[in-house]
Amino acid sequence: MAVTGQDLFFATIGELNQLLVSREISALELTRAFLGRLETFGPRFNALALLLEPQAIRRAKDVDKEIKRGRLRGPLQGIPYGAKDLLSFAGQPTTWGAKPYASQVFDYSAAVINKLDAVGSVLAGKLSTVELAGGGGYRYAKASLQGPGLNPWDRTRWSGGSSSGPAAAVAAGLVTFAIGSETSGSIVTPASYCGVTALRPTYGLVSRHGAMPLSWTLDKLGPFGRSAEDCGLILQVIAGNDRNDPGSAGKSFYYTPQYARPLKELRIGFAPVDFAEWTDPAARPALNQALAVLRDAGAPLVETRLPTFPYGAVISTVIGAEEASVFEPLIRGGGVEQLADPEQIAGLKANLDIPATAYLKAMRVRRLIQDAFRELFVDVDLLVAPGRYTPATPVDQSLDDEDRPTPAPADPGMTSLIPAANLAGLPALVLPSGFAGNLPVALQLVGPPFSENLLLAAGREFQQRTDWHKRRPPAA
Amino acid sequence: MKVTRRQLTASLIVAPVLAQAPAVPAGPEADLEAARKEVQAITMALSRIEVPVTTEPAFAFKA
Repeated sequence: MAVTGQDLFFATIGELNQLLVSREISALELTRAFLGRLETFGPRFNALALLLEPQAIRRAKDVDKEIKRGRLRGPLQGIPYGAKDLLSFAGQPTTWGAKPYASQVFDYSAAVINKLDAVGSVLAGKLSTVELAGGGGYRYAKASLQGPGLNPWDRTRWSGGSSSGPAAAVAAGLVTFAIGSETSGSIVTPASYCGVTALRPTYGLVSRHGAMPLSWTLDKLGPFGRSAEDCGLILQVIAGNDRNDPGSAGKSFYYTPQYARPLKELRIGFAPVDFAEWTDPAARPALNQALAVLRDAGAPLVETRLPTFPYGAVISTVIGAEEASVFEPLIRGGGVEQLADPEQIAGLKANLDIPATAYLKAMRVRRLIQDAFRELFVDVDLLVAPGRYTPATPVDQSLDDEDRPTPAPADPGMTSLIPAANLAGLPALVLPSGFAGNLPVALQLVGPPFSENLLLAAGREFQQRTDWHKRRPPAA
Repeated sequence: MKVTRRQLTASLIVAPVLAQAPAVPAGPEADLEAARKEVQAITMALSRIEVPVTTEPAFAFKA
């Protein structure tokens, strides 16, 4: 396929790799093109935290020399990408999106950045995040050093959080892929709102060394990309054991979708009420059509119920207690007052009051949640649910006022799937699945721990039957 | 993290406690007071959950 002009910015990793290896384009040309675009359009969506132009140019020149010498390092060599600004990059500011850390500089780079560097990927810039990844809770999208994340599909809408920059930058073609993070929803939400494919890996599969800690037992790093295929290629590079990350599972990942079972052999659990009642009426036609794609591929859809637990209480206690410990010096030292969102300030302070017994109770319930999911995955191979139940919300809308059906359906369906799956450490794949008006909507697939190849193969098959992941926002 | 404190607590069995809190806090003190009440409510809700005595915390957590 000939990739030229604007198509370059929306090409997949495989397409760009072909151009680079055949030397139809140099890594330097590609990097300069993306840097220019990131610098011009990044601020338009409040997606850019820091442009790394000199470093990226230097790295691209090295890559070109390597390619010229025939030293090929795999499909990510020479591909420009962005990293959420809670990942350290040696010698440059890493702000965690928060004013108290605006001048913070580490002398080492995050493990994922080092791994991507080792295969020749080019870090073009740091991308925006909600301050402190929103751990204390936040009321407004503007709770970030870069301002509210604006959605490339409609700049009056939020790009989602807390990985606002990674999702918006990939959606707008400012980078080919990006690395974001999720504690509970920070990959799934912005990917759904921005119409981008993204993967939340199993807890422990990707090292968090060099990433801002928010909740040690929940934090995960994962890729935003053009397709399930791209996410698989990225995960293969960034996954693996790391003695510097105490949560590391000690596992590697090899992207081998060819060995995964096809959709027609998978039993996929779903809750009909999600698609009939919980989902915003404007999003229902698209999400039901997406569900029909899975059905048409031969996947038996099985009505499934999530195990009943107070997921909200458990996850807010785990995050609250762990983040209060992480940020205790900030809270007690008064720096917390510099944060942008009053709810975040109040939440962090109040979380110092969480008793040890509550935290341990939450962690014990979490063990039961894990056991319950283990049993659930005896009956089904994957779960499917809307990534979010509404399209992107207006950017100035209070997040306390998120649209929900009134009266709420009696059956909760899988509306708690994000906190539930995060508590169990489960991987999720977000698949763009059509539109509600001009705004993208998405499905999320969730699987058992370390089922990434199964998820990615299912996603790849879904994307062979659809083109929603290839759509480009008009604002880009 | 997208889920807000109020959305989380809304899904809990803490309605009586929340009913005492102002719907829209008016300032930093009110915000803090509301946040503390929510922590208390969640703590109480957790304390009411029965867990088998042999269940250990998911700690160090492994998926």
